[in-house]
Amino acid sequence: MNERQQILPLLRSHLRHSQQPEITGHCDAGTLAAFAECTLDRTERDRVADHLSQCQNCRDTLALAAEAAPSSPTEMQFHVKGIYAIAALASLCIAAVIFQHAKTLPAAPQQQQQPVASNNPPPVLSFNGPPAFSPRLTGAQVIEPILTVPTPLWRINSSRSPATLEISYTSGRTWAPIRTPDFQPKSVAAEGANVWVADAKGTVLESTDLGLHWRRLPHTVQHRLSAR
Amino acid sequence: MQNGADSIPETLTLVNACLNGDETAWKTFIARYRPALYSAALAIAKDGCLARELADSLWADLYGTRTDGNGRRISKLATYTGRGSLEGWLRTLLAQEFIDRHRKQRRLLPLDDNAPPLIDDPDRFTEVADPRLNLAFQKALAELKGEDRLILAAHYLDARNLAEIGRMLGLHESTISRRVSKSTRSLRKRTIHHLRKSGIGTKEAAELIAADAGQIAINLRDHLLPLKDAL
Repeated sequence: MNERQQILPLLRSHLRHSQQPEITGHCDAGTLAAFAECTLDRTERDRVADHLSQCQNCRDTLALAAEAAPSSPTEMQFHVKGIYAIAALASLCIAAVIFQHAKTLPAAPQQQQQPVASNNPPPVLSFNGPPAFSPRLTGAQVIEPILTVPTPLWRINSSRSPATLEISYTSGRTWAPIRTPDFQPKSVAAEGANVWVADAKGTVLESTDLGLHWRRLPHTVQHRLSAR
Repeated sequence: MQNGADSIPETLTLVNACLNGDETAWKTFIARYRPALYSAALAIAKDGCLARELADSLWADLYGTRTDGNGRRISKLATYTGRGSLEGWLRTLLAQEFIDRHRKQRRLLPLDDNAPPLIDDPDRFTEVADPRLNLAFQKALAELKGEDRLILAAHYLDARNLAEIGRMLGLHESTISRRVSKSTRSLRKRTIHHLRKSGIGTKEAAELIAADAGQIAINLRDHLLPLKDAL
């Protein structure tokens, strides 16, 4: 029989003896509620606890009311919150250590970005720069344009005077005139961004940028073309 | 009873408005507390019909079915003083009402003539103890904090488990477990201390406690065995 077991029969006997079955002044509901919610001051809490230790009726009431209470923020939840706080603190410490460690590592050689210097205007709707989220890409790489544009259509609008070269990006629904200074186009041919326009005299203009800039083809070329 | 966030002044204002017959206040009171009152009644009574009866009865008392000389309803809400939350107060009222009913019903039950005699006469146990030990233990028990005595009474007399006691006191069960162990250790130590003060040596005091415990155990067994045989 250990020390605790030795004391228990005596304890039960004295506690039972201290119970007052005919006690008159029971705790009111408000006091019991305040006791369960730990809102009484220390002196009163001790006084109420003293009464409760002797009054089974009030103990039963308190126990039943406590059983019916929804889960409230008790000490247990404070324990749980404490555990979460410790876990959060530990995570922060680990993150700080990793960050500090990363700072002490030798810096990775930075890739020399090739400047995409070009006098030519960039192609329409294409993108040449490396995106920020992908450090492996270099400036030399060309990313496919996200937007695609339908192949333009070309025509000579003879209804105008003089006849004009026109381009359509809307499959022929709308047309826009292309300026060809001092030139009256008679026919047009196109392949991608390359456009060739001929007049009635056989002069051929060539554009490699969808009609922004034109150059006159030498006669030999014109001859070969006309010979085909 | 889910509106635990309501402050006491706000609750008191609501209660006063209800007492003054403000119908809007009553509607608010019903909306806030009625569903929770019924679920608390169910948790206490553990029986749907009894729970409804219990809650309806309290609800009628809260509204007030009688009037005073001035024609004002006599409501139980008037006894709410704002010491605890209104939710806790309502739960405690339900618990009190349930216990009262239970006790009344028990008194109305017919006595069984063949029932075995009660053996848990408190005096039977104190008779066994040495008077010096009794006095020393009584002093030691009185020296404990009221809350510790409450924990011991709930655990050893009412046979409540640690979790139940924890809910009663708003503490975690591990705290209750620690306090039970600490209190029993402290009781033994203090008892020995008081025995020594009355001129008994430490060894003799420990032997006295051990002998007394053994005697009580024998005494209990002597009384329990015939009862077991009878069953």
